[in-house]
Amino acid sequence: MWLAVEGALEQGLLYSLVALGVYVTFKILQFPDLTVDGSFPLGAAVSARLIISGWDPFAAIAVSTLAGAGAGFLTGILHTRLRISALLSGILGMTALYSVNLRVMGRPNIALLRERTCLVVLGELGLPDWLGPMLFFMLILVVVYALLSWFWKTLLGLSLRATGDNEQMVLSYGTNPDVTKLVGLSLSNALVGMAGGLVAQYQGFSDISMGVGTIVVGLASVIIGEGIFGEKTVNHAMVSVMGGAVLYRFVIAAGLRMGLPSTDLKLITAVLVVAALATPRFRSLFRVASRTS
Amino acid sequence: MVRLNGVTKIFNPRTPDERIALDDVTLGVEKGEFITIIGSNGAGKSTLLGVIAGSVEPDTGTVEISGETYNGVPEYKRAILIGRVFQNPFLGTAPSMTVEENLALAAARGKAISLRLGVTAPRRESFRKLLADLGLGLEKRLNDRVGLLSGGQRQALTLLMAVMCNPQVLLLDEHTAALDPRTAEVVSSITDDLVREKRITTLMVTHNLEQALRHGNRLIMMDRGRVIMDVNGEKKKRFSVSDLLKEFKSGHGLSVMNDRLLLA
Repeated sequence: MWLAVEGALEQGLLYSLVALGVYVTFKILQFPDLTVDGSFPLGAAVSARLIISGWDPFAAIAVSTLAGAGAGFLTGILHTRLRISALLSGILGMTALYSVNLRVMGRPNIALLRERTCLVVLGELGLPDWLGPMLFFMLILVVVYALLSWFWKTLLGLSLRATGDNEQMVLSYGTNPDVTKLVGLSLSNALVGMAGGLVAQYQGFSDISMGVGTIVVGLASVIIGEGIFGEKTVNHAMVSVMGGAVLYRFVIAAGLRMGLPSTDLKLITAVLVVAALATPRFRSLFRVASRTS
Repeated sequence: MVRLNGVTKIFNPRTPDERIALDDVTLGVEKGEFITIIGSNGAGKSTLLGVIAGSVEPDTGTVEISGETYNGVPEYKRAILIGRVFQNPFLGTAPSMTVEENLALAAARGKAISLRLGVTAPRRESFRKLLADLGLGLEKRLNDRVGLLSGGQRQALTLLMAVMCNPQVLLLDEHTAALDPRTAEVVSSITDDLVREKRITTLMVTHNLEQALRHGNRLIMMDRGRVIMDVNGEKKKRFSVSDLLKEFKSGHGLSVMNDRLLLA
């Protein structure tokens, strides 16, 4: 039981980064970016490849993050320079990344079981096995949260938020919204790439298909988190979204414990998102019904 | 200050929907002038402002601001020179951001690609003063989301933001038309105060003849993409609504006589 809780919490913390990334594009920029299905495994592929080549595992995470940023930037170029629709730009980016990821890894999967990953290094510090990763992931999240929270208050961060809110206003005050979109997409996919790198090291392998459904998992966290914990300010929303990611992992873990086969997970995720999205509608239907009765 | 030379703009050329929005318009605007622009729907008033702001690129003719040609310069690059307020109160502000965050972006006009903090303590103090001058109580709502404000409050805030960095030109596109009469009155008088205080060259499009006469020191009437009347100074002051209506009828047929103008 404790093992399942520990696992769910650790995964929830890692996937909080994905949730934050999806929050940046979907909620802040109002840009439905599907690149994450490619940038998540890209981060994993980069980390795995670098580690088996003898790189330091923490440096590998940094490169995964940069690789994710690059992927987001390219999707942004498709959208802002070539004027391809947001959705299609993301799909194109994600599709292209599938091949890129195969090239990065050189084969469909890489095992890291006997390699020196972040967790191995943490284990050497003498912390208990259950505590080390948890503290490490929390530290990363706190730093990421603090940096984002500061960023949203800078002029560039404000411009980015205004771009999703009202693009005409950004134009009227002398900023090119194409620039803010590029920054936002790079930032979002950097977070997702970092998550991919960490997950690969955490689970001990990178696999070409591990990105499938990343966007839905991220969206599920954002929607569940904001729905349950609220979204009054950006900081509040970021905390909610991270809470959503953890909560989501607990729901999945509970489902598995109740005996659902792991192959059903994507279906459960989709149902969860549908339920969260449909709740306000059902609520209003219910209200109308109770008023007329 | 602003000079249009033979500007023509045709929307959907060579299609059944072809519409001549501006037809060889030449117009000079002197520094410090406050021009009101009237005309029926489709007369080209908004397109005229769009050509100056850069959101509409003319087919032929040149656009000069402060003696420099601005053809082909994108809207966001002209924004340092131009303040703009639209009819729709939602176009001027970011609703999910707070009042002070909106003001911070306006105060950083043209310099927002930067990692400096938007709202600092001294800047917050200056925002508070500026808002207090509006007299709408907004100085107590610095941390409220703009989406919570009324249309009139948003439009007043947009005006304040538009003139914040002392632009060379202020473009007002029926900015009181979507407001209820009393709020429109308040926003109008704030407009007058700001324009007078900052001596900004202003072009204001309106459907309201009475408003067009009361504000500004020059009046332009447009019809079918052309400037058909242009009065200023003493002559404008002596003009009345009935004079304007006479002007419509005498020279230029009935196309300008739509219900909206008459009832305005």
